[in-house]
Amino acid sequence: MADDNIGGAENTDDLILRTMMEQAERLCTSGDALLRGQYWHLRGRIQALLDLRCTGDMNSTPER
Amino acid sequence: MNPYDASPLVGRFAALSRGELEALQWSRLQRQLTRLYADSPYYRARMDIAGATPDKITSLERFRAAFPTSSKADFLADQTAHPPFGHRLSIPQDQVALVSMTGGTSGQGQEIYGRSNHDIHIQGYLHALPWFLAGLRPGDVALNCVPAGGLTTGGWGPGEGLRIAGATAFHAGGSLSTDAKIDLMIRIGGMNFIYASTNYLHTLSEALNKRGIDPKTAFPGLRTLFIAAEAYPVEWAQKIENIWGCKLQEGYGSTQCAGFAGSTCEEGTVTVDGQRGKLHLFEWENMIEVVNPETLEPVSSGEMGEMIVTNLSIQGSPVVRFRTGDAAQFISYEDNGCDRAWNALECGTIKRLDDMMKIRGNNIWPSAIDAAVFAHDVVAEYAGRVFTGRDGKTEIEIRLAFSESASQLSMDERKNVLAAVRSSIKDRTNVWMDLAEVPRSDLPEFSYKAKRWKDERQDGYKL
Repeated sequence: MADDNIGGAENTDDLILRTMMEQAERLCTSGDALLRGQYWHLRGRIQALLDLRCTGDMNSTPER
Repeated sequence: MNPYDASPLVGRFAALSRGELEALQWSRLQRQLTRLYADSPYYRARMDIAGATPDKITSLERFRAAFPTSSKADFLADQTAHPPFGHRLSIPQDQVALVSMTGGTSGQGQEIYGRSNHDIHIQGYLHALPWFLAGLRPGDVALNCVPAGGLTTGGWGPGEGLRIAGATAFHAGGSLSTDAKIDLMIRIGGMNFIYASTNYLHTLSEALNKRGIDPKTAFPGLRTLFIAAEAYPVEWAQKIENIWGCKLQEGYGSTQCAGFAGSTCEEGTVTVDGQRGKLHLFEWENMIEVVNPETLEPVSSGEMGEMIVTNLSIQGSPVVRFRTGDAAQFISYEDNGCDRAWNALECGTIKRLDDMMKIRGNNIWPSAIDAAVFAHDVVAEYAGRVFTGRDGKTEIEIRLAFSESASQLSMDERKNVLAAVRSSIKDRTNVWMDLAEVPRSDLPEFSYKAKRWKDERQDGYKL
């Protein structure tokens, strides 16, 4: 799955990260004040991974 | 396995044509400028005044020609007017997850940077990436000799970098003496990677020699020594590789770059034919311009100039066309000696423009004297002082300590070395300087960046 990221596998990793990003955004709306900062941290990590993996089309990275 | 095969992601960056790389830069730059125009009153004001709003910046060339540069003084003024982060923060303050400050060694004040969680990861990535290129792999054991924690990027970036690289790291910098570090290194045994400032690697090598420890046999699993922060002579790099029996690699980075902006490739800091290596720039994360500091025109390949940095991914307190005050020799991607389309800098010669001392009409950088002194492998350390003599003349005094390996030298041989060092300094600076031998214990040890020079000339004019 998270193998060499060329061609199809590339899209697989991005797809997983995008899905995780959507879910992390939902977690960030948590009413738990102890967990909220941790969810922000998780979202930031996923966002950075999407950013740093981009080698071309910036449309593939999320809006902030 | 080479890094391009071990990471197809790195392989893809390496395979980008210059056109593809610049298209990626342009895409990221547009995103950054649009965001900053909306979220940063500091940058919005600068764009409006210069007529360089995102809609008018239509290309990388237009950006370089029209977007105003910022200096340390601009950032300090912004911070003073809008404490603590200034209006360049550009993210909500509650999203600041890490605060970094510059070291304050310039005497002008400390810049402050507020980084988001995203930025913390990018900062780690910009440490992990050069180290990966230098041979660090998941599961490796690493020793970090740079003082950890505190308020500097150099304190937090390496820890994050080693963590996300998947390494098992010992952060011994700042908290253990050099002897205690050596004891720890021996206990660890199978170490694969050491990160240290140039100066501290010198100190560590000297201390191992003093204890009669041969690094080649004591640490046979060591693959990479990675240095940063200071210039050095080619002879020193060759000697270090010989002592340790592994490759010496280097990175150039700063707080403004949020980590390393570039690093050496497989050839390391010195090529097999004794030429300086190259620091290949990660231009898709930081755009680096190398310009004439007076005209701000780009220098040609092979020329020295001031670096101007633009962060392309950083969210919190990003720098856009920031004048670093660091001077480097620019090497165009066409001359970088490899297939990658990345521009480069010459290894081992990056220096601070504001370190320059004007001595008897000559522009002298401490790095030039470091190069002259440490080209002699029996020298352990030195300290320099420029002062005004009784007759009002500028005088220069260098106190120099020999290394343990010089203990067998006779008095005459030591005098000959001093004369040779003095002559080397004259060759590189055009100034004769007085040298005196002192015991090693008379000179300080530096755990990070060395500060070897004191300019006391103003004191000589006090009434």
